Amino acid sequence: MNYKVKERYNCVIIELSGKVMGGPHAETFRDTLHGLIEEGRKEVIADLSKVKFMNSSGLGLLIGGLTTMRNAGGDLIICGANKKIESLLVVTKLITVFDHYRTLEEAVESYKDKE
Amino acid sequence: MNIMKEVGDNTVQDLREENHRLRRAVDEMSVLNDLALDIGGRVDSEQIMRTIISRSIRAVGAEQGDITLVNEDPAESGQTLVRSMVSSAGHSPLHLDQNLLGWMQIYKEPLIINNPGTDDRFREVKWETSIHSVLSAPMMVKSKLIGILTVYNKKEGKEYFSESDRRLLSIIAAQSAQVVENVRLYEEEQAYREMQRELELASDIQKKLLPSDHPDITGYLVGGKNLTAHSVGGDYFDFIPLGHHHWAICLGDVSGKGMPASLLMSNMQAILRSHLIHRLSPGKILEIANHQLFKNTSAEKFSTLFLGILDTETNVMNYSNGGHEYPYLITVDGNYQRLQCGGLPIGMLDQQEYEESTVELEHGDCMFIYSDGITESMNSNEEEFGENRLEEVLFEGIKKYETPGEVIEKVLETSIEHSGQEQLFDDMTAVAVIRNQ
Repeated sequence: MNYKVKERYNCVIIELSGKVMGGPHAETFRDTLHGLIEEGRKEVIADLSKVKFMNSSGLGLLIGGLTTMRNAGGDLIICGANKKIESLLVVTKLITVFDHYRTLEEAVESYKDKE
Repeated sequence: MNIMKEVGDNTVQDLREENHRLRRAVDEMSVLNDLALDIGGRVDSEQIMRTIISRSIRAVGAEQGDITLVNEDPAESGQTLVRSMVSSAGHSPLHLDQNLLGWMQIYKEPLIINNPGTDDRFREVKWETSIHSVLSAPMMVKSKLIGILTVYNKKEGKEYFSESDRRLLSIIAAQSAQVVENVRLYEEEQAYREMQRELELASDIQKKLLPSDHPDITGYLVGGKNLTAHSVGGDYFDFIPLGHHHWAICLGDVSGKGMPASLLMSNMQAILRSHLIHRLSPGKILEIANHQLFKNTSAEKFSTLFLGILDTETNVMNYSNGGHEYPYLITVDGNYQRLQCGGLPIGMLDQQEYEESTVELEHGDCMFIYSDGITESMNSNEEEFGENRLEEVLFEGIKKYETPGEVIEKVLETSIEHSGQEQLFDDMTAVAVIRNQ
């Protein structure tokens, strides 16, 4: 799993890629989020369009991120989930917990609307 | 006459030099011999290194010394990581050795620094004022640098380390390197074996936590099986008699694998069993379990869980599904439904509510619960086994399968065959319940 962090004026986009399966990357991901919170950047978008595969441990990574951001008064929303990931979110009923959008633009828009 | 004297003088000179060389050789041998005797049958790496250091200090007349063991970082070649250090003094100036390390990695030969402050090679270093001379030798095993042996502050004579000091220390370092490396390897192996033993013990304990036999339930054939990817795993299934012809049947999948997952799994089993005896409904049980697990762990650690409570007299099962793969309820005529109702995985977010639903099992119906290790098993083309293939196995044989064991075995077999691997990537667990009366 890899990820790139891109900043927009109103939010931060974390573009994940590869296989999101939890493991040691969870630590670095969480550290990245804490770093953003310290800089006052609390609106995060997890862009999943380049994620090939995600399992339930990978979900743990997202949920951990969500909890971290919401506890800091912000949010973590997701976009670009493929059919497989979407069905994983449905089965685990996490689809009801995350704000999710099909495209990155829609996700960015949603933060604008909240302002 | 003069020529004779000159020849004579040369001969005496030669003899003196030869004598000097021999004497030095004998001294060196004796140092090495003493060292060898000292180390002898010891297998404690720290003790051995202390012995080497104290012998070295004595041999060259220094005030203090240390050994720094290093590892070449396999990810970044050229980077050297300090593995450990043993010093004769209370502490050793670490920054000093980092610079020596760098030099030693490049040159791999013994080094004298007789006036550290004025030495061009180490101008960047901030030397401690108490250090006035340094002698360092590389410890090599098969041309790999495994450490450096360093001594400080020559005590006697001119207070500088000499060529013969350098020679002596480098011989000691050369001889000690293999010994130190061997002992380190031995210690590593011991530690590894110990860990393996612990894992085996944990595995035994965990196996006993899971049901070993199919339980005797009136009117039903019930079975479950668990295959772990490592010696211990995070999948869980259980059959719990609740009295009054009620049975709890559940299957869960703790996030992650190996030891951490297995610990959480035993915790969850304890939580479930302790609350089930209170005859609460499945939704309520999941709510309580969720809160407990949430408190005990971080958000990344959670468990999916399907919990059904079956009344064997009415053949009605009340269930709630906490984020788990939807189980199949297959009827004799080949129809099926998926048991979806419930809520989030357990332990993820606090204050969750879990919906419940009921199904009635007819004669011949089969309920099949499984963990995602089965559907997610991947072949070399990165194709998952998937639900379609699972359904093929389940439906084609539904009339053929007489026992839960048969269904489960067939599913596991087919999934593993699909992956083409010997080693499982993820734990695989399945439970089958057939009403046969």
